[in-house]
Amino acid sequence: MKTLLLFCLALAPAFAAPVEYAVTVDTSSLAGVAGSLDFQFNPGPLTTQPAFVQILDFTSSGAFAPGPQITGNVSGGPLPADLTIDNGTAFNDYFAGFTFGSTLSFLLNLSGPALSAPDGTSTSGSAFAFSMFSDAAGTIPALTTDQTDGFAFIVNVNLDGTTTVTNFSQSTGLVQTPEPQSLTLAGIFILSFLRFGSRRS
Amino acid sequence: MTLHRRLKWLAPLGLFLYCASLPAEEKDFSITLPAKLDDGTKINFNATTVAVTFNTLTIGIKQKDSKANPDGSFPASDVFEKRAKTASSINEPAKPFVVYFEDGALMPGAPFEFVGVPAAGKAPYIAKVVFYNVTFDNKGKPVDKKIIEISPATNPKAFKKGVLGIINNDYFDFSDPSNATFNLINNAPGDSAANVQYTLENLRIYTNLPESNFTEDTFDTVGTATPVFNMSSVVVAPGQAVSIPLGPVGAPGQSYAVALTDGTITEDLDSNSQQVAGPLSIGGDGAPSTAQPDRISTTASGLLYSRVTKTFNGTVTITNTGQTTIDGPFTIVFTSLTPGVSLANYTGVLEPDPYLSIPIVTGLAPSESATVNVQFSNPANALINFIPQVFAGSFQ
Repeated sequence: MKTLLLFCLALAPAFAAPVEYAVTVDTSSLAGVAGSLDFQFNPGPLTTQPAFVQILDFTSSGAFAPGPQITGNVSGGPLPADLTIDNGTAFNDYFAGFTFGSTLSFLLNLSGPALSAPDGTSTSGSAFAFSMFSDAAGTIPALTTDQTDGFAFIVNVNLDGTTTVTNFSQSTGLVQTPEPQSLTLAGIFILSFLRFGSRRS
Repeated sequence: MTLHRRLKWLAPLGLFLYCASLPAEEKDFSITLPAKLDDGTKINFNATTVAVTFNTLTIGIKQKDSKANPDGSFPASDVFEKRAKTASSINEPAKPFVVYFEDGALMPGAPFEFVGVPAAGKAPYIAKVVFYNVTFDNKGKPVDKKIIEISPATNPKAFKKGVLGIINNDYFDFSDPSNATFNLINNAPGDSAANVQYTLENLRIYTNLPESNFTEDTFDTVGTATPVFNMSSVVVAPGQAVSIPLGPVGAPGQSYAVALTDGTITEDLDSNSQQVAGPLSIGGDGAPSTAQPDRISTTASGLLYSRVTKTFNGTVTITNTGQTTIDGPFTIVFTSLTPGVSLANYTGVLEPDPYLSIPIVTGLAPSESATVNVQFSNPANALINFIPQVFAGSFQ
């Protein structure tokens, strides 16, 4: 029985990486606007562990303009096809013109050693940002309260492998999928159930 | 259709034509560089506002070769030279420190550099940048002084051998006049390839030496004044501090001046050194700033590029890893910053490195942290890196 408990608990941190967020944005207020979208994932200024993000299952009633601007370590795509961005250079960025529809959604998957095996010696995390602009040049932030930098939301990869989300957009919803502690809870539930069952018998 | 309705479209057209005919905003402003700059210093000009162009810009950069006011500014008698120069060539060997642009543009993300070349036989010192008759056309948006950001690039040396050096403040106050101590702190790390040892010859400390005796780099005369401290040679090794006890020095707030009369500050670079990693700082007593490499850890977040500010933004966090509380304030010096990268929101410069003060935090209990926002200008998208040096105590 203890072995089962330990097994479930041991699975929990491993299950925490990769981390995935389901992102949905209500862009109805920008429907028809020829704007732009920006995705970036960068390291910090000190020692940083490798990590990467994937933009998966991008769907929208809007449409991308051809010819995205790609900087740094970006592979796959072009959106709406799946995209991978790693933190191997200072600026890893996918910027594309986009005519907004009523909604857009995608899965944001973060993985790599920084999340699955934090080394305890690195001194910088990494950060992902998603931004929307109401102009094709990417100078006028949209659907965000962050008028300083224009980010809709950012996800920081912390030194302990966890992630921290800061959402500046009331139009944007982020849900982590699946819940990080779900397997631990499931294990505890199974364990409790089995113990309860054995006592009754 | 009435005449009124037929001519209704003329109103917005007239407003448009009126706005288009408005003169662009005209301003003069000057920016004083934050610290003494030295031989070979590069100054980066970065536009920090989106879509800014200017019609005419004249920049005068003058070598400071006369007496400075106590606050480092120029006396009114100093006049900046101006000379016509096209934007295609910004260096002016015949008349260094004077640059003139016509019909130029300083576009965001496209900085240009000015390389300071000192006049022969004069101590290099670039002190001020003045913008004359600047006409900005910011497409109707307000223009502020952050429109152009000036930052010194990596400076290879804080001193030149044989140049008399008075650094940081000219006069120092002592908070405890009954038992004053004067501190010489070598901020260079003692365990890396980039270190330096300072030897100060003929170091003399005077009390209340008149400011009239003071010029840019040394004291002209000390008259008959008797130094309260006089030593032929003081050596400050990398990472070390030398405290000079002065004893009772009189009334609270007593000021002291430091003179290197007929003396020099010499550098002793080790065989691997290419540059000075940390300069010597001189300070009064009270709460001298000291490097805290063993008690404070420094971590940083990822850096995100802002398409609005054109900077890479993130945070730096310091944490007290010791067993006792460390009194603030705290200052982070960004040493060995990647060439071409500058700290955009620096508080000041500890030659040659920019530093950032952490506001509000007066102390850190064990395991307690403090975080400060950082903004880096990085036009080439280079991998940003620096070696943090954290100081606790008042920073001079």
